[in-house]
Parts: sequence; structure tokens; C-alpha cells
Amino acid sequence: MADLKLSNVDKSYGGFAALTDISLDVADGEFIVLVGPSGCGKSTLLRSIAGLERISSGDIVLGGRHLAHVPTRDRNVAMVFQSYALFPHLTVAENIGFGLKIRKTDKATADSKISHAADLLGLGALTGRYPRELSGGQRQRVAMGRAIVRDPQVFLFDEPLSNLDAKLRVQMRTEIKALRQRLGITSVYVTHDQDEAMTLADRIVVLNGGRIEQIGTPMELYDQPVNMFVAGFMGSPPMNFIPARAVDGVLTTASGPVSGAKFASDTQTDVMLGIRPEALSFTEGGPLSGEVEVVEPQGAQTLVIVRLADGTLVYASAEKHARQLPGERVQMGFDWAEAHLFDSDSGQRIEPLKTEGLQ
Amino acid sequence: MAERYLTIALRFFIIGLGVLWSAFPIYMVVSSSFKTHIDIFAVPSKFLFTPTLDNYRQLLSDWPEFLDGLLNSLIITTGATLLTAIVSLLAGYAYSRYQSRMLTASAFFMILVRMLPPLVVTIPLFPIINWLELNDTHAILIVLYAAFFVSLSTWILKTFIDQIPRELEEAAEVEGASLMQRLIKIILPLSVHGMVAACVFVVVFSWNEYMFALIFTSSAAKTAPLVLAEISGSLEGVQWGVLFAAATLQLAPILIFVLLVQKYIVTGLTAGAVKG
Amino acid sequence: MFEDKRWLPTLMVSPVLLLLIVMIGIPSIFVAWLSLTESTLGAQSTFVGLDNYRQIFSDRIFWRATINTFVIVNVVVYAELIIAMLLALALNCKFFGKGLIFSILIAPYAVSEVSAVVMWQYAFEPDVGTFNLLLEQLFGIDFNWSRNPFHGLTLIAILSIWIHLPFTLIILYSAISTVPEDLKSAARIEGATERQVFRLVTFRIIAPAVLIALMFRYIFAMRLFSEAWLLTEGGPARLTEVLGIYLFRSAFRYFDFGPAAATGIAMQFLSLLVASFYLYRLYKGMKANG
Repeated sequence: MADLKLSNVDKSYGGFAALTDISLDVADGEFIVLVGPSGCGKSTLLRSIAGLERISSGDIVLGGRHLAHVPTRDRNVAMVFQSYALFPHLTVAENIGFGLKIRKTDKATADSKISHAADLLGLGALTGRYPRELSGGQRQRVAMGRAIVRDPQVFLFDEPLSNLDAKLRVQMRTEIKALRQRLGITSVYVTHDQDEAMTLADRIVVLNGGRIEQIGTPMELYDQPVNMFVAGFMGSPPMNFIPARAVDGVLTTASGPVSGAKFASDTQTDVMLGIRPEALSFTEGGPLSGEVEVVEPQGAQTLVIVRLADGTLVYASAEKHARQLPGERVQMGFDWAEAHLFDSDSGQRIEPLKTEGLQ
Repeated sequence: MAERYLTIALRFFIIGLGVLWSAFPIYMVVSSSFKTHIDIFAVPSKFLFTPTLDNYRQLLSDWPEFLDGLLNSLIITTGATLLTAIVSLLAGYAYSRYQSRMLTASAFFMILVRMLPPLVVTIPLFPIINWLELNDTHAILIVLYAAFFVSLSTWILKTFIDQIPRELEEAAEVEGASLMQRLIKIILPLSVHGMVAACVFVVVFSWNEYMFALIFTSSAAKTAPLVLAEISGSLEGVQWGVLFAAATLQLAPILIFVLLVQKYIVTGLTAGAVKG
Repeated sequence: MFEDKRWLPTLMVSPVLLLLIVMIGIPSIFVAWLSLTESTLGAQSTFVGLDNYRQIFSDRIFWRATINTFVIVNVVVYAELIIAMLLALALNCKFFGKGLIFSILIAPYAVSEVSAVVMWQYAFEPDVGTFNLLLEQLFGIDFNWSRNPFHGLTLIAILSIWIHLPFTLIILYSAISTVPEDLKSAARIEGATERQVFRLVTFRIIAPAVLIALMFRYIFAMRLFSEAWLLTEGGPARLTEVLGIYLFRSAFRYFDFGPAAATGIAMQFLSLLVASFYLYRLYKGMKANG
């Protein structure tokens, strides 16, 4: 086990900057999730740590060792690939033991490590099979087995669950979490699924356009997003953004003024009012009003989608048996403590928000 | 309906003619090699006859060098095939996994060279090979045969290696494998089919080749086709049976081989000729 | 795989390139020099300019060989194309024993030129050859390929077609089997006859493969040597010579390397002329891919 330190990592091919100024400290045993939309550079960052990509500048230090000139095979990292990358011509046991064999571990030690890993992952009965004879979940476990058997300094996961169906994905997610609690291995995990990120991470790194937007615990990111990108990315359905204008410290949306909040600024500013669907409630006389467009029952709750006067669509969580009907006019309120304000131009969070009691 | 039956009839008529055309000459020679020379000259030729091995016995006593020829062919075919396989695997891997201006230019050169007629290079090679005293050796034919097939084999292997996901190699690399280990433990076992497809052509060519062998060998490295041609050339009327026996011995192993690897010939040709 | 050194790919392709350069590349260029010199085995070569070209271009036998080559190449290539196309179309359906039939059809690929010559010599043996007897009884033709140059050339062409048909057949057959059944069905639903289906759908799709098969066969057919040499050695009276035999005779029977080299240059020129269209397209494709 080891800690991992990235400082000012840049990577560009041709004129395209894939990664810009990435700095990140991963503590020993910490589970970091890199999340972001496709093309944000999260896989490139992971592959750079593995040495499968060469970084343009910056430094990667693993357990005190500078990796810049260390080839992949000597980095002592383990990686679980999106496609699992199981060797089709080798059995489960041979796949798990591949790295041990390359490193010329003696056979008795290797065999006991392989069977230990296989048992840990519930593959004990399958060690003689070939990858093509396994189900998707079993293949995923073999890939995990290949990673844990060698006691690497860091685990790298490249969207390991994205090829599984929804049900299996949730199950494997739980297994990965249980496994990491048991083994306590330093891990970097890439996903585009924010649910996975929230469930698994000690800390989440949100990437966008090759830059880090925010680093924090899942709840920090959820409660204190630094900008609209992070706010919109974390949480499902995503946060609502309602255009508003602050004049002399009073906030006004298309539905009229929203009382209860004052701002330090007394000039006129365009802002975005960010409210998560679950923070909205249907309240007679609430400050936001509009017409119900669609009602989407989801089982545990029902989503009501409301069109505000300026055309903005707002998602609101209602109770299981929502009474709202399409075409109905509704009014909604919210708790200021769960509301966020962002600068319309820069997208940055506006702090502090001075509240004067509840609406 | 009538039209449909007509199409089917036409289809099988064409196929029937094709089969007759392809098989009849082979059948005649192979079957006649087991006939007495009276049966060989029977008119019309006999389809039912008592088989005899007389021709083979006579071949061995009259032409002992034919066996040497077969052995030389075997050595040269094996050598040319191994050489082609090894160098083509390395090059096919490079063309599949790397890109550079030099590689593109050399790939173009490889295909260009394949278009040049082999007979022409014998003119300058003949004096040089004589001077180097390499004529009438196995080595010179091995190298020549390989040279004329490495471009096709490289191209076939490239298309097969293209289909092996890079991630497998990356995974092996993360597990600590070097380039050599990746080639031996990942690429080689996963491109076995490609290796067969890439080697079939050089096997058949080396076993059957006549022109280079005629120019560059005289006795020690003389191949089976060359001895066969000599038997044919020295024919004195009644010795057809011996000739048929020799032709059958030269043909049988490679014919069986071709029928066994037929599938690879088809994939190899489509990969190498059509795409390359 | 970034730790791989930059020179690594070059190193990996170098054995192949070395083989090609030493055994084919340099000799092919050296031939051009030889074609401008006069040399026999062991003698010093002297520069003679274009004399060798003048010599072969004024040689009646060279022109005879050129015409023979031209005629045989065209006959062989197009006959193969038509026969292979018919067979490939006939084979393009499912039936019992198709694998075996296909094996038999490509069997001649395994037969050496020498064995093939033995086979066809026997079939056309003037006294007992099955085909000769058939020709005589059915059409009254006395097919004597060792005396009649036209018959000799015909047999050379038949032999060539027989040996090389599998190549064309395999390429056309695999091209035809990639034509999606759906497209043909769609054309039939639109009211196309079977002939129109072939002309407007199948042929359009396989056209590139047909072109490539044609080009390769042209280039390989021009190399014609072994079959012709073994069958007639160019006789009688050098009337059935082709360019390959002309070159071989000059170089290895008369040891006249100058004219042989000039003939070689002519053969290279013709091959590259045929190949140039293909090479040009390839070159453009490679440039587009970087």
C-alpha cells in the first residue's frame, strides 16, 4: 500500500490539451473516484498513472517513488479494465496468476495466492474455466482477482462496471465496496456514473475538459458544489437552475420576488438559483409558480415537471401518490438552507448567502 | 417453378463441370500410378483395375535421387516457412501497433516489391550467388522463397493482430510483462490462426517451386519438382508409370495439407490480397 | 505502451525489409544497370548504352514472345474470371457436400507446375490421351501440341488456367458471399429479375474485389515461365516462347546477360504499369491514414 501524489500533471496530444494542471493527493488506503462526462480526461488520467500514456509535464509519485521514467511493468499498479481484458487463451486461474508468473513467483506461493483470491471472489469452483465460459459478472470478478492477487501499491479501475446490466452493476458495486473495506487498498476508480461515485468514494474528483472542477467527499460535493457544473453533475435527477436577478439584495425570478434572502451585493446581478428536486415542495403561495407539464411516477416517489413563466422546466419530487395533474397551475416553495446561488456568467458559487428566516 | 428447376439444374451442371475439370487430371495421374503399364496405355482408359506398386518400386530403384529431392524440398519448405513466420510476426506486429511515416513508406515499398517479376531478379543474383558459393545450397532457396512471401504474410498477420484488443497487452503490461513476453504469451497464442493463414502460401510455394530451383540448384540441394521434371524429360515411352508414381509422391503431401488448411487459404487470401 | 523505444518498430520490421531489399529491391534496380552493359558470366562488363534494347527490339523472336505473352495473359486472365465467376455464383447457395466440392475445386492450387504438366501431357498424349481421343472422335481435331505452335500455346493457356483458377475462385467466392442477402431480397421485391439482381446489386458490390483479382492475375500471369518451359521449352522453333522463356534462354542458355536484363526491365515495366493504378490508390490511402 502506498500514497499517490499527482502534481501539476499536463498532457496534450498535438494541440489538444487532454489534462491541464492536475494536482491530487491520495492518502494511503483512500478510495478516490474520478468522475466526469465522457471525454473529460478521467480515463487518460488513470492511464497516465498506470504509465499507459506518457504525461507531457508534471510529476506522479507513488509511495515516494517518482514514476515519470518508470515503465508500466515496473510501476507495481493493478488495473481493472472496462472490457476486463481477460486473456481468452488462459483459464481463470492462469488469468489471475498471470502477473505472478511474469514475476516468476514460485509455484506453491502462486497457487495459494490464486486460490485465496479466487475464494475471496467466489470463483473457487471456476478456476479451470476459460473466460468465454463465464458470465459478465464472473468475468468482472476474474479481472478483480488478477488485480488483488499481486498486492499492488495502487488499484486502478477504468469504468469496471459499465459493461454489466443495471441489476448486476448495483450488486458488484456493493461487492467492490465490501472488498475495499476488507483490503483497505489505495484505489483510483474512474466512472461516469455519479451514483457509483457517491456510493464508493472516500473522496470524489470531478473532472471537466481535462481540469479538476472540485475535490471533496461525496456529501461535500452534494451540499457545497463550487460551480454549476459540479452542481448539475452530482445528483439524479439533476439540480434545477432557475434564472433570477438580484437587485439591491433582493432576488427576483420570472414568478416574482423571492423573499427571505439578502445579498451582500447591492448592485444588479444575473444569477442562477439552484435547487435540487427533493428540496422543492408544493406550497400554496410559494414563490415559484408554473404549470405542470408532465408527471412521472418512479415508484418510491413521483417526479412532477413544471414549466415556469419564463419557460424554464423545473423537476420536483412529490410524494408517491402525487395529486398534481398535467395542465394544473401550481406553486412551489423551498428551504433557503438547501438552495444554491451561482453567478450566471462564470457559473461560480456565490457566497455567502444571507438568509432572513424561512419561506 | 419450371424456371426455378432450370436454375438449379444449371447450377449443378456448372459445378459438375468444375469438379470434373479440377479433379480429373489429378485423378488420372494418381490412379495411373497404381496401374501396370499395359493398363496405363489401355484405350479407353480403365476405371477398374488391379492396383500395383510396381511403379513405385521401379521409381525407387531407377531414381534414388528422387527421395533426396523430397528430403531437400522438406528441408527448404520448413526453413522458408519458419523464416517467413518469424520475421512476418515481428513486422506484422509493428505495422499493427505502431504508426510512423517510416512504417507507412516501408509498407508501400513491401507491396511495390511484390509486384516485380521473380524471374528478373535471378539475372543479377545468379553471378553474385555463384561468387558467394551459395548456389546449390538449401539456404539460398530458403531466403529467396521467404523474400517473395514475407510481404503477403506480414500483411495477413497484421490484419489478424489488428483484431487482438490492445487492452489485453496493456493488461499484461500492467501485470509486469515486457514486449517480448507480450509477444510470446499474448500475441503468439492469439494469432495462431493468422500464423497458419500467413504460412500456408509459403509452404505450398516452397514445396512446388520450379524456376528458382532450376536456376540455383544443381545436385546437392535439388528439390523434388526438379527431379520430377528430369524424370519427365528422360521419358522413354514405357516409363510413364514411374513418372506418375513420382508425381503422386510429390503431390500427395501438399494436396492433403491444402485440403486440411483450406479455410486458412480463403481467409488469408481475402486478408492479404483484397484488403492489402 | 509508452516505454517502448522509438526505434523499436523499425527494428521489428527490419528483418522483413532486409530480405526484400537484398533479395528483390537491389537486384531489381541492378538489372537496370545490367541492361546497359554487355557481360557474360565471368567477363568484365562494359557499358554499351541502349545497345541491348536495340538488339532485343530488332529480334523477331522477342516480338513473337511479346505477342504470345500478350495473347496468353489476356486469354488466361479473362477465361479464369468468367469460369470463376460462374462457379462462384453457382456455389453461392447451401447444399449438401459443398465443403467437399469447394475442396476439389481448389485442389489444383496444391499441384506444382511440374506435376500439372505431367497430368496435362498425359491427358493430351497424342496416342492414348483421353482428351486427345475425345477431340479426335468428337470434332476430328488432331491436337498435336508438340508440333503445332497454336496447339502448344493453347495447352499452355489451359494449363495456366487450371493451376490458377483456385486463386480467382477464392477471391470472387468470398466477395460474393459477403453480399448481404437482404439487399438482393430488396431488389427482388422491387421487381428485379435475377439477371438485374446480379448486374445492379451483386456485381456492384463485388466490383472492387473483381478488379483486384484481375490486377493480381495480370501481374502473375505475365510471369508465366515454368508451365511453358516444361511443356514446350518454347518450341517448336521458338514459336511458343513467352517473355519469361526469352529472358531465361538469353540469361541461362546463352549467358547473354545484357539482353536478358533488357527483357527483365521490359517485364518490370509492364508489371508496374498494370500495378500502378492499384499502387496509386494504395499510396493515396496511406497518405490519408498518415
